[in-house]
Amino acid sequence: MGKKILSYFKGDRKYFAIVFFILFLIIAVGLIAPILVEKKKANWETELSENILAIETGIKNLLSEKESRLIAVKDQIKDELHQTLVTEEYEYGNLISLVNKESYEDFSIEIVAPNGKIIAWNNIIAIKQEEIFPFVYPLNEVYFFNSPLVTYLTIIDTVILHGDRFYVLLSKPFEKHYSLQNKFYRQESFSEELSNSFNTIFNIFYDPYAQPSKDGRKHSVMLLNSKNSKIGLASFFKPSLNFEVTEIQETTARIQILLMTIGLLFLTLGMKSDFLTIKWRTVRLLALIIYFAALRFVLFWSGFPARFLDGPLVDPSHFSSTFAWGIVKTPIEFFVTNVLLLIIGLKFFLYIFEYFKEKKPQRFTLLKFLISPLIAILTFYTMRGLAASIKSVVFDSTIRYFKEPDLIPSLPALVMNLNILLFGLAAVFVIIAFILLLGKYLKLLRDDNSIFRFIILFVLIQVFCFIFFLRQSEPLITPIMFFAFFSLIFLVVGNLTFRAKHISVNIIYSSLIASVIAISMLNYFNLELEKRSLKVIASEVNRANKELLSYLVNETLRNSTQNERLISSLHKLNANYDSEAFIAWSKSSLQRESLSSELVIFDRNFNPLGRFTVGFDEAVDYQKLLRQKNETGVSISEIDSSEKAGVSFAGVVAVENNSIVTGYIAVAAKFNVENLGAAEFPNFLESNKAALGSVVDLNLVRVFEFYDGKLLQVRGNIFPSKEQREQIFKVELSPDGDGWINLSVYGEDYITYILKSNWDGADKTTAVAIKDKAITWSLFNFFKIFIVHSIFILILVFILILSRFLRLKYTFRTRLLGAFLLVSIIPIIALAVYNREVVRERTNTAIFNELSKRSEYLENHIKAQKQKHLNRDFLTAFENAGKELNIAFTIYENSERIYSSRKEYFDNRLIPGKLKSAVHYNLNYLSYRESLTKESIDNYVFDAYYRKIDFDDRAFILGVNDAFNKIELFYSPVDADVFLFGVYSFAVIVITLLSTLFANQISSPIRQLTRATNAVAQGDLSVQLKNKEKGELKELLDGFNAMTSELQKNQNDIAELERESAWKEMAKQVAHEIKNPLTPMKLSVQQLVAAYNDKKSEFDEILQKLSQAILNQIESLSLIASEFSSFAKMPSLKLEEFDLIPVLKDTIHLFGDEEAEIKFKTDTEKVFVESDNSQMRRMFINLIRNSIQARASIINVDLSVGDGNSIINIADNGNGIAPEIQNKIFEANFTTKEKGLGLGLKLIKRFLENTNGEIKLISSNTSGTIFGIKIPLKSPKQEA
Amino acid sequence: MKTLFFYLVIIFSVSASNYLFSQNNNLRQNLNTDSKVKIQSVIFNDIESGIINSDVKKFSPYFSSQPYISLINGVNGYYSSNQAYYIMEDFFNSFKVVSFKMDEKKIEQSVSYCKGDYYFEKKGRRELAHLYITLSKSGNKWYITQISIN
Repeated sequence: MGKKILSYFKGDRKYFAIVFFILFLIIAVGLIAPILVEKKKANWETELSENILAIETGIKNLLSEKESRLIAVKDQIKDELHQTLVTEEYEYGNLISLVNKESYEDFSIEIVAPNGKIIAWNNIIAIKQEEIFPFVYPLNEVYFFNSPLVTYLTIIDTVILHGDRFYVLLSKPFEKHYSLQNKFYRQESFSEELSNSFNTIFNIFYDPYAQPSKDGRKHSVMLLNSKNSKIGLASFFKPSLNFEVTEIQETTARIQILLMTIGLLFLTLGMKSDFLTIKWRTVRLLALIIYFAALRFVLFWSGFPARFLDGPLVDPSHFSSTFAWGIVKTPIEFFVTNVLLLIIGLKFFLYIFEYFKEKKPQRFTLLKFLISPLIAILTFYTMRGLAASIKSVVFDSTIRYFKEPDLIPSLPALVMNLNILLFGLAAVFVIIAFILLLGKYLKLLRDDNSIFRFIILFVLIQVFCFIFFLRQSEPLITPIMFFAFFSLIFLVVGNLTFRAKHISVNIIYSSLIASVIAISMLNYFNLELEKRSLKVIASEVNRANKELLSYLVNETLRNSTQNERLISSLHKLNANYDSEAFIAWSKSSLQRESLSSELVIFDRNFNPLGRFTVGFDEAVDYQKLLRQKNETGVSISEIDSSEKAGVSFAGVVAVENNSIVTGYIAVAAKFNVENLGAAEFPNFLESNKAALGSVVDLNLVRVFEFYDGKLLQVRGNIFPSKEQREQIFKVELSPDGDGWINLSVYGEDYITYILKSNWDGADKTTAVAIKDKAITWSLFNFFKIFIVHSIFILILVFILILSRFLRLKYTFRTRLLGAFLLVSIIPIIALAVYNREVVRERTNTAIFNELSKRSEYLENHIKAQKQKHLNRDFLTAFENAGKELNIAFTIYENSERIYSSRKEYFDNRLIPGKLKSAVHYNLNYLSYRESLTKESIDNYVFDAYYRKIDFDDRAFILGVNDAFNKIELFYSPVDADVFLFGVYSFAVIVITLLSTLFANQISSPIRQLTRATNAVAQGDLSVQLKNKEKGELKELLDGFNAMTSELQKNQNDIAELERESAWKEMAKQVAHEIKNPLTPMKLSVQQLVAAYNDKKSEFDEILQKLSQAILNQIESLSLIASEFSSFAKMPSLKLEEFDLIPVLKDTIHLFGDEEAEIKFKTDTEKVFVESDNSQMRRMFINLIRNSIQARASIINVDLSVGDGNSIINIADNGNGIAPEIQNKIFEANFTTKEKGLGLGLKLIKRFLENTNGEIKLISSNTSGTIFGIKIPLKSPKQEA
Repeated sequence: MKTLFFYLVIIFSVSASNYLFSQNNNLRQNLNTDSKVKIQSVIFNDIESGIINSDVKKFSPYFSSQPYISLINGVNGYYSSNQAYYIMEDFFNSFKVVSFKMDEKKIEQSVSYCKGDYYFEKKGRRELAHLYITLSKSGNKWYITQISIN
C-alpha cells in the first residue's frame, strides 16, 4: 500500500504534493493563530503567573551562570598563582604577566598583599585601594560591587603564597551606567540582556537593601548568590497581553512567510522539467526572466529575508533606495535583488552567446539592421543604469567605503561591496550580450577572425557612446570613463570572438572588469559626495540655531528631573557626582549632538557637587541662574557670549523627590563652527554625528559665516580678503539660494559652497571651502575595495571549479599552474608581510617620536619653571606646562596619579587612576626610562607613552597619549595595509591569470598528445596533431604524427598482406575442398560415359547410382560454400553491460583540442546498455569525426532515456548532407569524401542492427545535421 | 546607402532617447511660499497626520536632500531623503505610536519648527519621547531639515 502511494508521487508529482502540503500548512497556521490568541486571552491570568515564574527562574539561571563563570576564573587564577609563584622562583614580573594575560582581559584582577596594598592589577581596575577594606561580603562569596560608572560582579578570595595570605579580587563588568552613541562604546548590561531575553523592561537594583517595587504593574525578584545571600533586586514589568498577542501574530506571520518561501522552492523544482521541455530558447529565457521577477516580487511582498533578520544588514542607514517601491531598501534586499539580476544577466549573456556562435544563415537582415540602434541605446543606458545605481550606493548610504577603519570592512560595508560587484557583473554581462548581438546583426563580429571588423564595431560603439553622452541633460559619468569602460568590455568581447571557448574563463574576466568599472564609478561618485559634503556642513552650521540649542538644553534638563539614578544619588552620602554628571550627560542629546557642553549637579544650597565638561570653555554664572530660576520647571537663558562667536545657552532645573527639592541640575551648551564634527571632543566621546567628518577631513574645511555682510565666525586659519568676500557675495545663486565658486587663497584653489539665508531678519551667508586638491581620485581608494572584490572573485573561481566548469584534475597543466603560483605567490606574500611589519614598525616609531617629543617639551617646561620659581609647587608647574604648551598629560608618583590635565576623566573614573601595571613594572622595577603601550577606553584603543622624570629628588612618571593629543600620521597602519594588500592582491590576480595562460600554453601540446594517444589506444590511427610548436616539442609532435601515419600505413599494409594471404590460403582451401568432390564427380561421369559407350545392360542402374553420387558431391560443394561464407562474416560481438555516459564523455574528451566545441548534455545519472563497448566507442568517434569534417563548430551530444531505449542525438552546425544523397548514406561504398571508403555509416548501421539498436538521419540541411541513435537499455536484473 | 541609413537611424535614436528616458525621481514637491496660507502650517499638519498614522509618505515629499535625523533608537546623523524615508518607516514600525500631539509650532520667515510629545509602545509598555522638527527655507521652498525624536 505504502509502495503504491509512493509510486504515485514519483517525478514532479512529489514536488507538487509538497507544495500543496505547504499550502495546507500555511492555511492551518493562519487558522491556528486566532485560536492561540483567544486561548492566550482566556488563560491569561494563569499564563501570567507561569510567565512570571519562568522569568524568575530565567533570571536566577542567568545570574547563576555568570556567577559560576566568575568562580571558575577565580579558581583558575588561584591555581596559576600557585604554579607561577610558589613552585618557581618568585618574580614580580611573573605576577604582572599572569594578571595581564589576554584571556583575562574582560576581568578586573587585583592582587592584594597581606599588608592590604594592591601589588598587581590588570587594565580594568574595579575596586580602588581605599574601597577594598572592610570587606562588604564574606570572602569567597559573589556580590555586586558598585563603582561610580560600572557595577561589577565581584568575588574576593585568599591565596597562600610563601606562607603569606594574599587576596585575589576578581570582578567582571556587569552593568555600565553610562551609554555613548558611538562605535567605540562597548555595552555591558545585565538589565538589557534580561530585557532582550524576556521581552519586558527590567530595572536592576545592585543593592542588597533594595526594596520590591510598589508599582502594581511591576514584579520584583531578589537576586541571590550561590550562598543564598541577597545581593540585589530585579524589578520588571509584568508581561503584557497585548505584547504577547502581537508576538503570536508576528510569529505566525513569519512561519507563513518561511513556509511560502520553501513552497516556492519546491514549486520551482516541480516546474523545472516543464521548463526544460520548452524547445524555444527565447521562450525559455523569457520564462526565466518572468519567473525571477515574480520570485523577487513575492519575496519582497512577504518581507523575506529582511523580516527574519535584525542588525546592520536591514538597517536602511547603510543603504536604502526608493527605487521600485523599495525593492532595494536595505543592504540585504539589495543583495537578494542583485543575485536574481545576476542570474538573469548571466542567462541573457549565455543565450546571446549561443546565438552569436550559431552559423545559420541570418533571416530578417533588414529588421535586425534597423533595430541595431535600439540595441546600441540599450547598451548605453545599461551603462548609465549601472552608474546611477553606484551613485545611489554612495549617496544613499552612511557607509564610507574608502574610509573603513579596517582592512576587511564591517559586515554592511562588506555586503555593499559584494552588491556593487554583483550588480556591476550583471550589467557587464548584459552589455557584452548587447555588443555581441550588435556585432552579429551588423555582421561585424564573425568567425572569420577579422580584426578589422572588430575594430570598426569598437569605433562605432565609442563614437555613438560619445554622441549619447552629449545628448544627456545630466550625464552621470564623463566621456573618458565611458571610453575606458567600453574598452575594457571589448576585451571580453574580443576574447569571446577570437579566442576562448570556455565560458567560465570569460565569466572570471567579466567579474574582474565589472569590479574595475564599479570601483572606478564608486571612486568618482565619492569625489562628488566629498564635494557635496560641503553642502551638508553648511546645513549643519545653519541647523544649530538658538531655538534648537535652547530645545536641547531644555530637553536635557527635563530628562534629568525624571532620571531615577540622579534623583537617588542626591540622597547618597559619598556619591561620586562627577560620575553622575557624566552618566547624565552621556545619555543626553548633548552627547548625541556632540555639543560643547557641561552638566553640573548642585545641592539644595546651590553648592556644586560634581560636573562634566567637554569642549565648553564659557564661564557661566550658575549661581545667578539658580537665584533667578522659576519656582518650578526649567529656566533657560542665552549666555551673552560677548566677543566669543557662536550661540550659548544655559539652564537650571530643580530635582525633587516626593515634592521636596533635593538638588539642582544645570546644563550649558554652545554651538560654534570650531567644534564641527566634534573636533573638540576626545574620539571616545564623539557621537555618530561625528560621521559628518567621515566624508572629508574636517581639519581641511574652512567655514566663514557672514551676517549682513559682516564676518562673524571663522573656522580654520584663513580669513577672506576683500576680493574674496566680494567673490563670495557675488556668487550666482540657484533657486535654492546656494551656489559654488572657486576661491583662490594664497595661490591655492578652494572649492567653495555658498549658502544664503535669512536669519532673524539679517542676511546670513555661509561659505564652506576645501582645497581643490583635497578632493582627488586615489589609487589607494581603488585598492581598498579591490582587495574585497578580489576575495569574492577568488571565491567565484573556486565555485566554478567545484561546479566542474573547469575540470580540475591532477594533470600536467594543474601541476604546472600550481608550481607557477607557488613560486610567484609565496615570495609576494612574504614580501607583503615583511613590508607590513616595516610599515607598522615605522608607524609605531612615528607615534613614539611624536609622544616622546611632547613629553620632552613638558619635562623641559616644568624644569624651567622649577629653576626659575624655586618655590613653585609641582601642581602649579604641571598646570602651567599643560596650558602653555596645550598638551594633555598625566603625572604619576609610584603608580598613583597625582595630576592630570584631563582630570575630569579620572575623577569620573572613566580612566583608571592607577598606572598600567606593565608600565609600572618596566619603569619602577626594571628602571626603564620610557615605555610605549596600547591602552583602551571601551573599544577605543590609543597609544600611551610614559617617561620617568625627576624633579627635586622626586621621581615621577609622565604620561602622554594620543587619545587627548591627536597625532596626524602621514598614513595609518590601516592605510598602509590597504595599499600593500591592494597592490599585492592585484599582483596575485594578475599572476594567477598569467600563470593560467602560460600553464595552458606550455601544457597544450602535452594535452594534445595525451588525447591523441588515448585515441590511438582506442584504435583511431587517423589522428594527426596540429603542430605550431618549436624545439623539442615540435620534434615530439612531429614524431607522434609520423608514428601514427606510419602505424596507419603499416596497419593498412599488414591488413592488405593479411587479406592477400588470407585470400591465398582461402583459395588453396577452396581449391582443395573443391577438388575433393570434383574427383569423385569426374570419376562418376567417366564411369557413366563408359557405361553408355559399352551399352551396358545395367546402364539405368549405373546412371541412378552415379547421379546420386554426383548430387552428393554437389551438396558437399554447397556445404563448403556455406562454410566459407560463414567464415567471412564480421567479427563477433563481445557483449557486456556498461554505462553509456562515461563512454560518451571519454569519446568527447578525445576531441578536446579540436576547433569545434562539443557539448554533452544528459538529465540522467547512469544509462546501462548491453553492447560491444569498443565498437560503440568507434561508432561515436566515427560520427563526431564526420561532424568535424563537415566544418561544424558546435556539436551537441544529448543523451536521454525513453521507452526502454537510450536515445542519443548528435547535432552539429556543419555543412549538412545534400537532400539528394541523404537516402544513400547508409549504403556500402557510398561516400562524399575524397579518401573515404563509404563503409563508416554502413558499419555503424550494421553494428546497431546486430545489437537491436537503430540509427537514422533526423534532419540535415545547410545549418547542420542531426543523427538519432536508439540503443535498448539493459533490463534491470531480477532479484533472486 | 544601407550604411548611411543605419547611421541616420542611430543618430535619430540617440537623440530621441534623451526625451524618452528622462529621469525624474525627485521626491520633493514644489511648494511656493507665495500662497496665502502659510505653507509651513500645511507641512506641519501633514507631519502630524503622518506621525499619527505612521505614514511617512505624508511628509516625505518635504524632506530636504540631506535631512538631519536623531531618533531614540540610536539613529543620529545626516541621511539622504531616500534613507530618511525608510529610517522613519522602520522607526514607526518598531516604536509604534500610541498618541502624538504637537505642542508648539513656530512659524518664522526663514526657519520654522514644531515640538511635540510622541508616545510609543515598547515591549508592551507605553513610553514618551520628545519630538522636534525644523523646516528651513531654501530658495522659495520649505523643506524638513531636522527630525529629532528622543
